[in-house]
Amino acid sequence: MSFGLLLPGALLALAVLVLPVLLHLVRQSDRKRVEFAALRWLTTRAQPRRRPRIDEWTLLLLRLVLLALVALWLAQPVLHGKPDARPWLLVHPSIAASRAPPASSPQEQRRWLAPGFPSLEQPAPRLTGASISSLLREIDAALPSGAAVQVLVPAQFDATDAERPLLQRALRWTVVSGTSQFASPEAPREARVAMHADLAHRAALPFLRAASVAWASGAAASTKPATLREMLAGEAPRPGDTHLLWLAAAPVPETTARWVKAGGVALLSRDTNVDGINWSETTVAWRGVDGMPLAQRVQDGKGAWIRLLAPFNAPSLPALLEAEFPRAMQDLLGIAPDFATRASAEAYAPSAGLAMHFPQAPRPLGHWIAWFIAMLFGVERWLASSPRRFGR
Amino acid sequence: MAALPPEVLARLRPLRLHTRRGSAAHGHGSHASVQRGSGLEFAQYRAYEPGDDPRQVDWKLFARSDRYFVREAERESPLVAWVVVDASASMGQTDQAQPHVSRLDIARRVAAGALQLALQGGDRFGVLAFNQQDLHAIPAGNGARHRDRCLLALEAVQPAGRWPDTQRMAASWELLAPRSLVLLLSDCFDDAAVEMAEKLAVAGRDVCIVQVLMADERDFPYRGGYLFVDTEDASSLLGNAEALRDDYLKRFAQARAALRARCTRAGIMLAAQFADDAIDAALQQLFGMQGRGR
Repeated sequence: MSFGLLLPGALLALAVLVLPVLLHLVRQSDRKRVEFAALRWLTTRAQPRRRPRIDEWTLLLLRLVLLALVALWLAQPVLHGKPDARPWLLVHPSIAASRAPPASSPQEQRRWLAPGFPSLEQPAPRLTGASISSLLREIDAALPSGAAVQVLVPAQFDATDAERPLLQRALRWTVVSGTSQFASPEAPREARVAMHADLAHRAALPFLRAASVAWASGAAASTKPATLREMLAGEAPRPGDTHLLWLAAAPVPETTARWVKAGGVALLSRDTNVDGINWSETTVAWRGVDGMPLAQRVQDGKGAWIRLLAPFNAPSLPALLEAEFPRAMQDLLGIAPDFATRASAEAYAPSAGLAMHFPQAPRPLGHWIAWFIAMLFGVERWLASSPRRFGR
Repeated sequence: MAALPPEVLARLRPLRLHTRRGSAAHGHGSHASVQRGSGLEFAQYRAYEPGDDPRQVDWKLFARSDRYFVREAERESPLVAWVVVDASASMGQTDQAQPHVSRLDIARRVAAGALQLALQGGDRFGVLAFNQQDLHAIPAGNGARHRDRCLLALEAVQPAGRWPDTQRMAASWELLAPRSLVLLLSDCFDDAAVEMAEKLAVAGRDVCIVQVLMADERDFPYRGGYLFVDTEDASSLLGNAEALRDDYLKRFAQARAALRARCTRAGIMLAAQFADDAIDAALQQLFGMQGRGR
């Protein structure tokens, strides 16, 4: 453990220590000025003492210490090499906190395996899709090599890399049997897209048909095949349909609205109106290459409404003409193909042996000194403004 | 323009301005306020009584009403009181204990008291305030509105500069008519002020001086080193207050005694008004019963 300065040049600021000394000297000769009309009856015999004298030693000393500390703070002091050997316990957010084993030692750090590593006493963070492998590497690099790390994972989890993580330490990889991040290992659902366009929106049909052909072809082949079916006028989505493209100026029928609440996803043209939907609380679902929002999405029951923000034709929506359009539609509707990110915990146990050793970042002491400076400044102000000084 | 506190007004109520010469020169025993008689200012009609001069009967009114009425007029008081306020820079000095009350503020309050006395006596009064640069003058008049006008004019006075030289002063001499009462409010540190008072007294004015002094000048409560500055001639003195104190107090008392002797010789009435005194202290001394008496 050793003490170091990141910016030793800042110690030049110690030169300002001269200032308070000068102030305390100058104040001595600069006497209080008072208006006195009866001056002619004052004699000039009694001169005040002019010997350089420093008064208020405590205040001067306090100010010197204060300035020295500020200079030290500017120099950014750090503490090197304090080994932090506290054991860590990391729990995957899909496991209940109650299933974590009791703390092996009072200093044990009990955290969630999630970005920021929140404490286990907080409620489980939501699964945001943050890469588990990345989190494991981060904690491995941040902790000194002596610290023991135990990780609790479910039998199956998502968001992994395609490779087993290689770490510098051997983790205690505890698989909690009988748990999984997934409710059931289900087969990918087939996306069945129903489509309806009125006369004014007929121009959109060729683009969508072309997109559906692209979905089925090899270029964007997915584990979730998608089929496009054109509905007749007045027809409602069938129970098997997962998505609906409704390009019509007419309002959405009641049956369709119920279908969306039950879990369907409907894409609407710009001029379509839906009763009871607050379009001000939406998220942007699709952005053009220039960053302008092209579609907005609002949740409704189990399903969602997506509304285009531009008319569905090539002049207004140049994205229609781009080669990426089929893929963009897939992303927008949520039928994009999955990559293999799921893993079985047994097979994914990280292996030790990474030869690279990450230097431990020195512990900064700046905030402690800042607090001390603030405290001393308060004391200095209190001393400097106390009525005792002006009573003399 | 701060009104005088009621208790001060109550204490001032029995007081009247009076001059050393009195108004005997005019043949009237007293100049007490409103008396009926012949004069310029019309006061009232009253019914004719046997013995009234027929010339005083308003014959035109008789022609209209067929009754005899006598016109009465308010007799004017022969006394003219002048409140002369020194507005030199030294009047801006304040006490340490009351840093927002200057010597000029004290002088304004004393002036307000003096004008109140003149108003009570039905006397005519005017106000003169000057320094090197400015001259504020309100010609003599009477009545409560005139009093307020005078006080308002005093409110506008700012302390600056020194006592004016004699040539500038000469203009104001014409205002201060002979046999008028001149009440000078000043610190009297400048010899020229006392000289002017002496000249006025010799020239037949009845001169009273209220020497307005600060409590700090009387007590010298300073401790430690100070730079004493005279704002009028920008001279200053750096000194240790404790070492200066005894000598200063002695010399200041001598100066006050010398001023008193000088005023007595010139026939000037002198009263000191300290900043922490009651506002009417000097006026009681000059015009009250414990003073010269009537």
